[in-house]
Amino acid sequence: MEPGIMIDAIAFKAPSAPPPISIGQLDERKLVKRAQGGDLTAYDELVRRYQERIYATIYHMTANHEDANDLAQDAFIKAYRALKSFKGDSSFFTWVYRIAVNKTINFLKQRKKRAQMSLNDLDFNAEHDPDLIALISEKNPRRDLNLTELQEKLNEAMLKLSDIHRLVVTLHDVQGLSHDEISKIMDCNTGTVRSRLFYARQQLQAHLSDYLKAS
Amino acid sequence: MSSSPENFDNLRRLLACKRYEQPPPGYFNSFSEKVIDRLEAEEFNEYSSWWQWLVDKFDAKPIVACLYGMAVSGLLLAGFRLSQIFETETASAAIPSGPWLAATPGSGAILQGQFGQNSFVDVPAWTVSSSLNSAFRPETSNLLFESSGLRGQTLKFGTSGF
Repeated sequence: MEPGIMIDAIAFKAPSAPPPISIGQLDERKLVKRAQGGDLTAYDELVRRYQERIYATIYHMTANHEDANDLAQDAFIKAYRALKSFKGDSSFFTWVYRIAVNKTINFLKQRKKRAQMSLNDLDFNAEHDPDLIALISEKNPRRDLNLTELQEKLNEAMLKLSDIHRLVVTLHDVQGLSHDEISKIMDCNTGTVRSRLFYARQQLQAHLSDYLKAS
Repeated sequence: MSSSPENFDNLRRLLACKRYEQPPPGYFNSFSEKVIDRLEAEEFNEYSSWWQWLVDKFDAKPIVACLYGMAVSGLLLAGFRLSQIFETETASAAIPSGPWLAATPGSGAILQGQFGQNSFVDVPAWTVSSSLNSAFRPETSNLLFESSGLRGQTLKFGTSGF
């Protein structure tokens, strides 16, 4: 092949358009903008990004898979309906979290009967978590206590907390959110979050005193 | 009970293990689809009603709603005014000669003559134009009560007593 032909082919090649950006690569702000314009594909992506955290928070608050499923869906639907009023003062994540939390607290106020935690949902990997193994085998005075029993005791203790205190513990110690994020979600200052967290931990500590004593 | 940081650490580690509580496998694969399906179904239901659609549009655009309200009010006022004009014109064409008779416009004077009153009197058109004339014209109103012996009496009201 002659080199000249190859050079010509390159020279006359049409400028290639930049590769199309997939919706999964868009940042949250752009997705929200698109969703506000009625783009359900963009909103689907937003739901996918936050569904696990929203679901988990509601699940730890309600202790029921079906309730968590319904409430999480309702929260995302309500968020979509109210999306036009979203000004972007906070992140979409904080905003939708606030909707989900308010919905859950209202639901819990209406629901008098508290369901038991579904322990069947405990993930298989929990048995291999080093922290949990250490808690059972070293720190726990009742070394014969198995994982399920410990989880059951913890869940019972969680259900004894008030909704607000359970929410703070869930958001901070289970979900790993910062005090600042929680204060935005709960619409209070960080001092209130810290005091509620301290009180909730004290309550849990009291309920689980037999299992959490230092060796 | 001890609230030492060490014990809080243990508690926190125990609480962190709640992250392992998961929904059934594959649950999140279809979660967003369910949400979007519900949204689409609700949108379809909402817009199937044209009234709902109209309310939604007005909700989003209050200025349009205000303009629409003003237009409707204007039409109502115009309709009311037109009906007043039409009623006046219709009344001017009516014949109030006898209390129990109706007649075609223009034949009023002759019909009055048939009853022997104001016969062949050239009555101006405006005097017979109102349906209330019979009530306010003494000679006509008396006809109403003569048969039963009743007589109309003019009442006067004043503020002299105050």
